[in-house]
Amino acid sequence: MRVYIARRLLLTVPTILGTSLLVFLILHLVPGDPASVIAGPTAPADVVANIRTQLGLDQPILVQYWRYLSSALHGDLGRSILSRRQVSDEVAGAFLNTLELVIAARVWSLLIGIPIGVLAAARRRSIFDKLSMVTALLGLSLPIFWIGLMAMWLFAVKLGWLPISGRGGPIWTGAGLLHLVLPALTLGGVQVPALARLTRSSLLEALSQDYVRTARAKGLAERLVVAKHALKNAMLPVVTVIGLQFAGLLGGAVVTETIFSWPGLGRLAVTAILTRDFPIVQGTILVSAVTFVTINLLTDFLYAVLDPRIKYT
Amino acid sequence: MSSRTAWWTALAVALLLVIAGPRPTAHAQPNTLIIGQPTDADSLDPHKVSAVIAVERMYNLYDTLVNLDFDMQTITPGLAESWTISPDGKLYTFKLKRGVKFHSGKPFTAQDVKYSFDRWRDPATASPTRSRVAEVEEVIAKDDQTVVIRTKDRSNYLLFNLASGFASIVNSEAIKQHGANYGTLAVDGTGPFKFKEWVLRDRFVVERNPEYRWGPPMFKNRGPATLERVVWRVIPEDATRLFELEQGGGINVSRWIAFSELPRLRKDPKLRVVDYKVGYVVYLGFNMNKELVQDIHVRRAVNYAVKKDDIVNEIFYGVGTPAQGPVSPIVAGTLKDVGKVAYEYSPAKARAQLDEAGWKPGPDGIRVKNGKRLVLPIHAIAGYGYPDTLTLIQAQLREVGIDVEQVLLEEAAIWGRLAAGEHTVFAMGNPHSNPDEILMFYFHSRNRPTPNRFGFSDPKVDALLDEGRTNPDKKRLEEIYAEVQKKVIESAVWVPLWHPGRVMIMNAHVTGLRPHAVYDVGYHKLVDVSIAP
Repeated sequence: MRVYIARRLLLTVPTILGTSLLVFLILHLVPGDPASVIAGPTAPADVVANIRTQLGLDQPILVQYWRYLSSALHGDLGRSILSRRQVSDEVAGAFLNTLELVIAARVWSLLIGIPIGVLAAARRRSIFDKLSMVTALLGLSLPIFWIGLMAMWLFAVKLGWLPISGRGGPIWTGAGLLHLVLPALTLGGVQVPALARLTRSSLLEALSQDYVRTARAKGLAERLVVAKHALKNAMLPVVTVIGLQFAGLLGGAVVTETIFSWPGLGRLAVTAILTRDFPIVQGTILVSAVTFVTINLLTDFLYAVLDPRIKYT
Repeated sequence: MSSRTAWWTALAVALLLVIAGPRPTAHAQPNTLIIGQPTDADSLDPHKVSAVIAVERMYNLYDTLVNLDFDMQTITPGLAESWTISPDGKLYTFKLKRGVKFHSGKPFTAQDVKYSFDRWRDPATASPTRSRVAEVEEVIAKDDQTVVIRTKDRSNYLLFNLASGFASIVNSEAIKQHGANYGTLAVDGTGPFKFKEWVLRDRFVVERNPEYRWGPPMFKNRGPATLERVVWRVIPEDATRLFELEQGGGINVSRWIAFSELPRLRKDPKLRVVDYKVGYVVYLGFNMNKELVQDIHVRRAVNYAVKKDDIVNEIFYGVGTPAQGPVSPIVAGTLKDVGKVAYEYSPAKARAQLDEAGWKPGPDGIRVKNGKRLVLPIHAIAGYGYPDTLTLIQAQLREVGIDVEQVLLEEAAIWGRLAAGEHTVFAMGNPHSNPDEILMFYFHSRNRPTPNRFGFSDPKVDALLDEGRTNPDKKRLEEIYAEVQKKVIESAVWVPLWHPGRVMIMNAHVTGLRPHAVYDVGYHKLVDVSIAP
C-alpha cells in the first residue's frame, strides 16, 4: 500500500508539470497581451513596450516558462502581472473560499441525493420513485444560473431570510455562515438530481444480484438487505462520480461564484485568463491539478474501504 | 427532555430566529456608503494603473495638486493653494497647503510632490499613463511649501493632467517600505479616506480620515467626511447588483445597473436616478492602411448609412446623444457648428457614394467591385454593448449593400490585434476632459500605430495639434480645434457613433452625492455625501 501511495504521489509530479507547460503554451499561443490591458487604450506604443519589458514579457516563451518554473520549484509562484500581488496569496485565498462553498454544497447534496436515490430504488415504481425521478430529471434540465437567481429572489429578496450575495466574512462568523447558505444550496442543489438518479440505478442493479436474493432468503428484513448488503456495493460508481464532481468543482464553480459574488477560484481563473495574467492562471491550474490528483487518490482508497476485495500493491 | 428532543428544539428555535430576524446584510453598517461594481481594481498605486475603477478609489485615498471642477473646464486648487505660470509658460510654481499629513502621520511636503512626479515619469516605473507628463522636464522642491515644474515647452493641458487620479501624491517612505505590495496591501495618501481592508473580488473598505482639513474648495465640506466608511463591493452579475440595490442594504449606489431597468427604477420612490453627462465618444475608426477603406467614398458611405439615433434609443435606452463630431459636446473646444459639417443619416447618399466608387449591387444585395464583395470586418470588444451595437450597424449597412463581419474579442486580445494593424474597422470609446486628450492621441501622425490606429496622417493637422498644446490664446485655440475637427470629419476616418450618458442610481436616503465626469469616474471625493437615518 505504501509503495502504491508513493508511486501515485510521484506520478503527480509529471502530471502537474505537463499541465502547467501545456497551459503556458496555449495561453501564449492565443492572441493577447497583459501589458496592453495595464496600459489601456490610449497608451502610446513605447509605453506598452516599456511595460512589457519591465514585466519580462518580451522574452522568448521558453525563457519565460523556465523563469516561472525555477521560481516555482523554489516555492515562489511569482506575482500577478496586473495587481503585483503574490500569486500564492491570491490563489490560496480564492481556493479556501471555493473549498468552503464546495464542501458545504457537497455535504448537503449527499445528505439529500443519496437517501432519495436509496428510497426510490427500495420502493421502485412507487409514487415516491416516479415523483422523485421526474423532479430529478427536471432539476438536471434547469441551468444553474436560473436556479441560483430564483433561489436568490425567493429566499433573499422576497422572504429576506438570507443575504443576497457576497462573502460576508470568515466562515466562523454568523455573517460568513449566512452568506454561504444560498450559494451552497444552489451548487449542491444541481448535484442532487444526478446523485439521486445514479444511486437509484446503481442500487437497483445491486438489488438484482444473487447475494441479495440469498440475504432475503435468509429472512433478513428488507431494510437490512438494502442498507447492509446492497447499498455498500452500489456505492462504488457513486463514489467515483462524487470524487470527480468534487474535484471538478474545486477547480472553480464559476457560475455560482459569479451569481453570488463569491470570490472563489473559478472567478479568479476566468478573470486571469481574460486579462492574460499568466502567473495567476498558472497558480490556479497548479491548485486545480493537485486537488484533482489528491481527490482521485482518496477516491481510490475509498474503493478499498467499500470493497475489501480491492487491494493496492 | 431527552437529548434528541432538546436537539430538535434548539434547531427549531435557531431556525425561527433566522426567519423572524431582520434581513441579514453583513455589509450594512451605520453611516456607510456601499458602492456596487461589476469588477475589482488591480492596484491603487497611481503609477501602476489606468483603469477607471481604480481612479475613483484613488480620488478618495489621495489628493492631487489641483482639481478639475464639476464643470469639466475650470482648474481649482487641491494640495496646491495657489500657482503661477511664467510668461513663457514653461515654469509652474505651486504653493502648497500647510498642515497636510499622510494617513501614516508623516507631514506632506514639496519633496513628496517631487518624488511622486519623478516616479510617475521614470521609465523604470513603467507607468501606463506616463505620456501625460511627457512634457515635464524637471520637478524642483524649492522649499517645503514650494514646488516648481519646468516643462519642455508651453503646455495648455499640464494642469488637466495634474488633476487626474494618476497625479495623486504618494508617500515615498510608504512605497519604499511596502515595495511591490504597495497599492494592494498598503496605501498611504493624504485623502479624506484611509485604506482599511481589501478582499479581492469581494470588497474594498476605506475609513474616514478624521484629520482631513484640506479638502478642495470645489466641495462644500472641506473637513473630514460625514461618512464613516465607504465600501466598494464587487458584484459581477447584473441581476444580483439590481437585487442588492433595490433591497436597500447590500449596496446603496451603483453606476452599473442595466439600462433596460431604468424606466421602472425611475418610478421607484425608494431610489433616486441621477443622469449626468461625461466627456466620452464611441466611434467606428477606419484603418487607412487597408485598401478596402482607402477609398473615401466607402468611408463616407458608412458615415451616411449609420443611423445613430437607433443605437442610442434601441440599445442604450436613450441614455446618451448621437455623436456628430469626435469631441464630446460637454468639453470646452468642441466644434460648435458641428451639425453643418457632420454626415446626416441618408441611405440614398450612402448608395450614391458607393455607386460613384464603382461598387455595384450584387445578386444578394451586397455590393461587388472587380468580383470582390464589399464586406467590412469590424473589430470590437466582446462586451460593454459593442456586440449589440455592431449587430445594429450590420443591419443598417446591409440596407445600402455593405456586409459586416463582426470580430469580437476580449480586451487582452484586441489591443494587440489593433497595434499590429490587423483591423480594417474597429469600434471603441474614449473618455476625454479636453480636446487635446482625444484629438492629439488619435490624430497626430506621431501616435501611429497606437493610439492613432487609423494610420491617419495630415501635416496640417499635426501642426495645428502641436500649436494647440502650446498657444495660450483662447480664441486661437478655438479656431485650431474647430479646424482639426472639421478635417477629421471631412476625411471620414471616423464614424462618431454616440456620446454615452451615465446614470447613477442610489437609495433615496443617500444625499450629497454629485457625479463627476472626469475620466468617467463618477465618484470623486465623497466628502459631501451623507446617509439620512
